[in-house]
Amino acid sequence: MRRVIRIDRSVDLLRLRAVPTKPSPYLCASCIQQATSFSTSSSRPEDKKITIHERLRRKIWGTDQPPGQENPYVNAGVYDQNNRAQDEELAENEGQQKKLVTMADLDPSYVPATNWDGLERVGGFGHWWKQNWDPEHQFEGFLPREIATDGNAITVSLHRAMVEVFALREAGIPLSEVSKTISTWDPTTFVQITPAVTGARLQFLGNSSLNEVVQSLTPATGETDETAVKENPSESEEDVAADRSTVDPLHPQSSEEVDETAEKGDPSESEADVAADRSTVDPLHRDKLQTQKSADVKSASALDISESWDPAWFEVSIEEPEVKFAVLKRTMQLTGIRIPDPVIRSSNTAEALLRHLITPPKPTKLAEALKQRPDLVELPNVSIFGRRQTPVDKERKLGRWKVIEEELKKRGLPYHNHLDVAGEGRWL
Amino acid sequence: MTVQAIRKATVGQNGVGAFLLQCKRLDFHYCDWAGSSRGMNSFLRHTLAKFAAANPQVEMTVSPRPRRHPVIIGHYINGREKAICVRNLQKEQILEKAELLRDASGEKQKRVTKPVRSINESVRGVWSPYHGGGIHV
Repeated sequence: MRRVIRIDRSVDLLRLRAVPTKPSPYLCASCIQQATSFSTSSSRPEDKKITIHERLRRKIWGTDQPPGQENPYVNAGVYDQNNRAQDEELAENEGQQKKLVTMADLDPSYVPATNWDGLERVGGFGHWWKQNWDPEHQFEGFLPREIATDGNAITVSLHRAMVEVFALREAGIPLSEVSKTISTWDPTTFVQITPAVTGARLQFLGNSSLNEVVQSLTPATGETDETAVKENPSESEEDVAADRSTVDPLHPQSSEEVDETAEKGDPSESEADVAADRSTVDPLHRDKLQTQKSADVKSASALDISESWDPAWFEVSIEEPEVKFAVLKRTMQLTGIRIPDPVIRSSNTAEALLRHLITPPKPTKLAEALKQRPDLVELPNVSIFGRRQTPVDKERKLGRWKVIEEELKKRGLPYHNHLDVAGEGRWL
Repeated sequence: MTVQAIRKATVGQNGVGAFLLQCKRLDFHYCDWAGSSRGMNSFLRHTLAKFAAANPQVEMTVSPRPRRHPVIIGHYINGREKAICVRNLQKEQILEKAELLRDASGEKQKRVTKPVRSINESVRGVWSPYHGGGIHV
């Protein structure tokens, strides 16, 4: 019969393996075994100073010098140790402070500053913002900052985008070139676009021509042949061209500045904006009425232009993915309107796309939505307010507010309501 | 000679000669954000135009009251006002509340115990011995 080997318990590590040298004559063997297994006393004299925890740790680590604290239950805790260390540091610092010399000792003429004039400024971003974000280095995104809202202007922009895309296709140029640049004049004003079996047919009226449209889409390059952009330049050639070209790669449009000085017959909206941005007249001090008038004129001229086109261009299909992508990209670049994915998917003609572009967004506030309802606004007994009606509004409606305001002023009491106090900046 | 008031020959009763609607104004308050105003917003969008056109003698004002439950407040010609909170109600229920406020007199609620109410003490009037056919003994 095999004997089952008894697994040693952890406490057995402390047990004395050595059987007493002098077995007691009156104890049986099992009793002796039992008695020794619970005995924690050591027979070795050198072990008497070592505590039970220390012995346990030594057994666990298998070495006489185990790492870590000797006994976590006897010595001071982490908190006490930190305190002790801090006390020691403090004592050292005090000793050093006694040795410190003041500025007055070193320089008798030293006078401490009472204000910050003339003191060196430490910290902050220094001139980083000025160097990186000054007006000459403005970030120019793909979409223009100003989003077009006028329906006629949007119609003209969509027409321009479509004409340009189909002109590129007719010229055999990749459609990705369509958004390389925005020319300062619109060469597509006198171009008719009508649906055809192949997609669309372009009719160039007046002085317009396919070449002119394509030229307007080509970014202006340097005069020398070295900087001329090749059709398929290799990577090394591109690097060389980039190194040699005078065009700033981050601002490729800057090379067009030479052409921009020339007078153009009919400036487009973007051109007018650019001109407005560069003019020395402060736009904030312009007459608001004049701005409104010019916007109306622009809208009216855009309406005249769009009415001169054959309405069949609304039916031009943009179902082909490549054409659709190019048209959308160009339209977004010209108008600044973001087009969501469902609209991209659902609009397969120019009309469908235009319907989305010229549709104003839904009002977020209920009052705005109600004010757009003619059946509600025309009712004489209904009045709609955009904000909460305060007691001041009620007094004003009764005609008492002027009197109350005068009396409050006379007494030196605050006479505007809490909305102004909260920073709304609205005088009631 | 003391000033004497003109003696009132008749007691005015609304509806006997002419009927004046007691409700002069209804205020509709809503919140753009809160879910309890969903029915109210729907009412204002879809039903208010028809309701206001049907009641041209009642002034109606619509104004937001942010972070509050929707409420309809009726103002009456006796100077009193009544407010009904219409939180979480559907637009049909809100229309009922608006009609209730429109039809209300503006008086405080009173317990009605008799089926007929009249300012005359009796429909038959005070008994007189000189009137009527008399009784022949």
